[in-house]
Amino acid sequence: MNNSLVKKLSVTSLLVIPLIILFFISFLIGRYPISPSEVLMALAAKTTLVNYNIPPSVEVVIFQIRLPRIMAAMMVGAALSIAGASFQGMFKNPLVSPDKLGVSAGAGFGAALAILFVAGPFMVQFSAFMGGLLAVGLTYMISQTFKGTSMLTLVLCGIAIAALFSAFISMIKYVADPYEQLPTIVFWLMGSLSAVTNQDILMVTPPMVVGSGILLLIRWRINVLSMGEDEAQTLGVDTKKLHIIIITCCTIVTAAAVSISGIIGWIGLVIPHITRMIVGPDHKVLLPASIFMGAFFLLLIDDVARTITTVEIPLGILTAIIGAPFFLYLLAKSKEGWS
Amino acid sequence: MNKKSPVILIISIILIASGVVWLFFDTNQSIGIDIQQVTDMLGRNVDIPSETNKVASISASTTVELFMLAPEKMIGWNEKRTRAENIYMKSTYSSLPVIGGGKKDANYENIISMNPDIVLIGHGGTVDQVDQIQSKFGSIPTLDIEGDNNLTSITPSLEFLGKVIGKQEQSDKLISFYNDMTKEVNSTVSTIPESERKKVYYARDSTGLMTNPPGSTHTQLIEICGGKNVVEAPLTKGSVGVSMELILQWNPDIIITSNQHFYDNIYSNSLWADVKAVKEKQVYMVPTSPFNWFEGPPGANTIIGIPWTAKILYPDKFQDMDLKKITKEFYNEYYHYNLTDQEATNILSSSGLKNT
Repeated sequence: MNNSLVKKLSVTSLLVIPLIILFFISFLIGRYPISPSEVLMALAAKTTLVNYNIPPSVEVVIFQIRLPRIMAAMMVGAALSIAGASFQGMFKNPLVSPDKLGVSAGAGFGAALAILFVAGPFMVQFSAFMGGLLAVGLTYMISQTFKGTSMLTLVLCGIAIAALFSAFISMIKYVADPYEQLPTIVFWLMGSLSAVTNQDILMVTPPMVVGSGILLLIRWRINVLSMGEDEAQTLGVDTKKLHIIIITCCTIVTAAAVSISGIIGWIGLVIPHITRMIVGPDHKVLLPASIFMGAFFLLLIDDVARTITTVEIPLGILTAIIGAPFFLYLLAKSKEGWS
Repeated sequence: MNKKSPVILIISIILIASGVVWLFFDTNQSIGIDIQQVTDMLGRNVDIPSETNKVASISASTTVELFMLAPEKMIGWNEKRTRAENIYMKSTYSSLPVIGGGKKDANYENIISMNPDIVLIGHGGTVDQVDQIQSKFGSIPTLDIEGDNNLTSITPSLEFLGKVIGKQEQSDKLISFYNDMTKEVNSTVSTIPESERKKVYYARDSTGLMTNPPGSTHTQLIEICGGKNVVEAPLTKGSVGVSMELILQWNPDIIITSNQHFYDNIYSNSLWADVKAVKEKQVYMVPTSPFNWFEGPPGANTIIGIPWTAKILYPDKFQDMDLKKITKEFYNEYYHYNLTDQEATNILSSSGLKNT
């Protein structure tokens, strides 16, 4: 008892403390030269309402550029990770991430379409969000028309729908103005948080909180699901209903994340694995741990993306460059967590 | 085998053979069209008809040049033109079909079926690539033009095109217009000391965070007009994304944008409120009809951007420059559109220039 409590506390601190430290460090780094003391004074001024005469440009950099970006990185990382962990549990398959049902391709299509019609940033986001929901909705509905729907059918439908939407994206790229719209579309598809504003954060907070909240509430049922469908039904769990709830929540949080960040791969796949290695396969612990882990990692990667060169490095590139080799390393190292 | 078959065989052999001979027979000579040999800008020797009536261009920047020199010879556009782009274009020209091209594959069969006398290809290809495209067009002479997408090398390309399509008078006029503009602007801005040069940022997209670094053809007007492109990034062919922090740090005196959405919202955006250009209301929207004045693509269409950019950067030094008159002249001569006074004023004032 005492032992397990110690373990619990140490795991929690292992996950939370680095994130808190990184959160504050992230305010200190950036291309605009601000001294750490200025950052601290600005933060203090905001929280204690004491006026320290911070120059307005410093205030803008800290509260309108770094703050939304740090928040966005953490939220997107957390959302992709919890969705990935839930999916992997539900499908009993370590290779599944929400992308597999077409959410990213659908969101990419929505965004590309909005860019093609010269819409502003808000419309691009909204269109991406709706596109993601539409793609997964199609995937689910089509898979329901087949007899004896299994998880495999669902994934196969998802692969087909994702391919279809990827083709639509290519079609839009093909007709887009190569000098004006094409670079914008390509850049969006590579994923970036450089244009995130505080309004965007407020916009995506409700869907993310609701979706993640429901997933956290039903996390013990994901445990039941990961035992197998028959066992779950024996235990009196309505598996079909549960599937719908999980897919809906995962899709909503992922679509919300993608709508502000563009397409960021690998996080939803790799983070749950890393987390599983640390806390084990129990979803009661795995889901909340994934949230902290995902937030930490994407924040770290985005800090690199925005400081390493004068040019923004698209996030999707970095997550894959770091994520893919790491994933291979994990594969080579162990088969733990799925036993 | 029946009796008739050898006869049929012989007849069909004769037919096929005569067909083959006909294929190799130079039809041009027999009709008696004047042929001249030209060397295109990659050094390929091509026989072209001395008189061209229909010209296909498969690159955006050569299409612009063709439109400026000889719109009546154009057979179509490379991209579908938007309504906004067509505001200042006669419907005779804006209604021409889309024939494809650009960075994509042109539909060769479709273009061949339209019977152009020659095909133009823009900058950047190799001899092998152009020869390959030539083989697709068969007997239609295909010419490569270089320098069409860069103001600093635009004159030879205009000269060459004028010569090929028999529009030398028009191309000479355009070249001297360009030379006069460049000279006038350059003589004024070359004396400006480094410390007084305006710092300019070019915003490409609706977020304003995509741009091009110094040295890029996309932003060459900034340098030509004596400004300093504030972006500090390695030169790439394409666009780069930069962060808001850097823009605040670079703090440009002037922002130029091609994105209407960005322009409409810039003065109410708290993120940008602290940038000098925004504080001083120095954000300008590039006119885009019938072609973009600043880039997209870089090329002959940006010649009119020289006086516009100069006036934006150094209004006091170019007080005597009558931009309205220049714009009307340019549209009339090279865009084949008679701007009314009101239209010229509209173009300039909606670009952010108040007193022209």
